[in-house]
Amino acid sequence: MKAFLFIALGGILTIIVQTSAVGLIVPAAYKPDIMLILVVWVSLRPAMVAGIAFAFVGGILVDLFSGSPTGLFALVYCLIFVASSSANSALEINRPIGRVLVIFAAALGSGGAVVLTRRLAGPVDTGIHMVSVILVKALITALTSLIVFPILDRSWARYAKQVGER
Amino acid sequence: MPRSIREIAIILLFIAGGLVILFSTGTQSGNGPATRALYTLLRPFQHAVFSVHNRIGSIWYSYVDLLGVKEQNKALQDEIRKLRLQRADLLFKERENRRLRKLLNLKRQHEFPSIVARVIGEDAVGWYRTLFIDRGTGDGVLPEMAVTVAEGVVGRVTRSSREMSQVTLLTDPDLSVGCRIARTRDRGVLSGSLDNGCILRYIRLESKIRPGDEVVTSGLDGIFPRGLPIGRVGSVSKGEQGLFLEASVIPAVNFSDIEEVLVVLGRRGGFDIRPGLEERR
Repeated sequence: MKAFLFIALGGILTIIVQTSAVGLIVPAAYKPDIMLILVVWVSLRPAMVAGIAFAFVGGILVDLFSGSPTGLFALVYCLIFVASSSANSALEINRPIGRVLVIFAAALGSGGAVVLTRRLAGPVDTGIHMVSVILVKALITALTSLIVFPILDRSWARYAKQVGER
Repeated sequence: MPRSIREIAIILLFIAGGLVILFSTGTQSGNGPATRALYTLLRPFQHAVFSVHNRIGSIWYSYVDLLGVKEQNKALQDEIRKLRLQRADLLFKERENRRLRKLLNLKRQHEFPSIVARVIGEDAVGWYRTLFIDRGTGDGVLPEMAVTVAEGVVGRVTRSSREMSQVTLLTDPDLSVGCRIARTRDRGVLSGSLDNGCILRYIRLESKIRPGDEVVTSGLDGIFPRGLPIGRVGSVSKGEQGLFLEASVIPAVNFSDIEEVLVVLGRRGGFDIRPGLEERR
């Protein structure tokens, strides 16, 4: 419960930052997906139930604060959570380079899902321009994780010490 | 009383010395030999002491002055900082005032009720072109309402809660607007493309549309009032199937600069689409 409170607060803070401050630093089209980084961070921790619940709620939050069809990011984040969690138990990816690669792959998957749903909904450009946007956005998200992961690790360590959570 | 002859002798010597000095001075004061001798004797010492005094005094007063200057400098810097802040605040207010005046003019031009809203956020992930405004159902803002600024159409309200609403921008592929080329009167449907521009589709093949033509709302979609500026035609090409023409449209609005918008409080299908209204507007 205490762990869920931490990630829930993290989720709310993330959505506030993503809808306001991030746009001042990065152009809207190349905005890093910080919620995705948070979902992957949670997936590398042992709290499975709290983690998947967060992935779902975080996804709904993103759906509500973006133009996506409601449920798209909830589904995508849940799938990313399961994939990342499984990859971690099989390959021990909880190291900086492993995390960055997982975030990059997850961001590619998330971007692909968005473009696919848009393509199904109506005529949109899915050419080389779109591929480059997905790649650059995934790269920016992966690089952002190098800043976000240590902040999360440190904040979690302090929080766990305060509330006596392991 | 003096106690001995020796003491009396010393006293007398001093008195005599005083008398010698007194009477050795001529009519002009300071010209006597004793005075001159004394001056000559004392001058180097006096000069040294005085110059040291002067130097110390000068250093001291400089220090005291510097203390004053330092304080004055700090006060002036504080004042400059305050004035800079005031200037920035005034510039911000002036720009806001100009924008609001434009919106007010637009509000007066519209023949339908509208409300000014402030932009409070943008799309969370950047895959979609949406923004958030600080007006919701409590202010009468409902989904499907048109959102404009003085330069032209911004988008359409897609979700609204009591306090805030989500607006899908003109550049989002999910938004379609019924449009007309102002010069040729040809109709088309405009929707966003993911590369920040818009595409006007379903223009008849015989159309004389050309780059630079102004695109305005047709009013036929029942959401956007007729005659609102959308943008200008960038390039024209044949559609994929070859049945219609397609044109890329450069929006009139710079979406990254929007801070306030005007929400048209009209119901779907509730706008007057009689010809000639756009010229009046």
